[in-house]
Amino acid sequence: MTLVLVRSPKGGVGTTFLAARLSIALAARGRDVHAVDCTSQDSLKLFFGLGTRQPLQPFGETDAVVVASGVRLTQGHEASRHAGFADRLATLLSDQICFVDISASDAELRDRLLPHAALEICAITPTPIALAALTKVDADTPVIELEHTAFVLNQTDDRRRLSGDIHALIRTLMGDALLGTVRRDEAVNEALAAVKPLAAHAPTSAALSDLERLADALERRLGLVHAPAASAAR
Amino acid sequence: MRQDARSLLERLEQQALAYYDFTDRVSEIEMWPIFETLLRDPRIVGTRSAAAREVEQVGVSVIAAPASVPPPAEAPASLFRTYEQEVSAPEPVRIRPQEPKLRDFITRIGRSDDA
Repeated sequence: MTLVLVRSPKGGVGTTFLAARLSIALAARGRDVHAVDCTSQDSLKLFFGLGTRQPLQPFGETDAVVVASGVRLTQGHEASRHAGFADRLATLLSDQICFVDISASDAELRDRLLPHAALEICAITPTPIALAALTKVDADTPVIELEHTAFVLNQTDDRRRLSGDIHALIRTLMGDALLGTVRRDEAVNEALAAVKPLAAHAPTSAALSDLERLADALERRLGLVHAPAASAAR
Repeated sequence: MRQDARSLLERLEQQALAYYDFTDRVSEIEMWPIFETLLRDPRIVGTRSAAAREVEQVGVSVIAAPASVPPPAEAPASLFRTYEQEVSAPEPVRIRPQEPKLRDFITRIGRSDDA
């Protein structure tokens, strides 16, 4: 199992969006992907074009698992409360890439799963509050010394002064730890309102092209592909 | 608007669109106070980081391109090591007030940023 945690100390920065879209992107590339919603918010499924009344199977129950956009989806909030959750993930998802959506308030779950994870993806937005929340990513290790955490700057808008400045700062500060950036695109919210996956609602969305590049970077970071000798711009 | 962009838009009959060239933001970055606050925070940069120590120093700011191009993730510490060597050099090149030093640091990193 390749375990990828998706969590930010700041809520509302696109953690669930990234968990959904990256799992969809990797599934589209032929990977066997499972996404587990460990939040009480139960919103991961919305990014797959599923409605609020569509129930997901609790994690661990293998009957009638919902599959959307090529990704197996389960609800893991209850299961994650138990101490053996990490072992159950490894046992049940041994050959899969597993994205776990963790809420901002659930640092305990993040800390419990991190030793088992190939990577933690931490989303931030170009806002002062999200920047300040970087001080809460890890209780013991400074941000620039984290070895298993990669950052994604979500909802960038370089036309706006502060957003552009924060983008430049994060790019400089994080270096290779910055996995990628995703531009702010109203189509993301429109797709949710339309109860459709983003690719179905807005196939030319700027965020979609950014997500493809992000998926490229993620595959390289996870060692699923080898970096090209000379990267070509898309 | 750049002439080549204008010509392309005319050929595409999209004169209502405008082409905006985003310049290198690192050279124009505004030193928002929260940036300095965070770059002093050991939870961000660590307590043993040369970057954290440098921000606390009062002294001269030497404007010089780094001799080598470090990997971006190591840029803050390595650039500050270079800076500390220059601080101990016989004569500083220029004296600046402390407030713009962070701007200089970001600018120097931008010159060495391969991205």
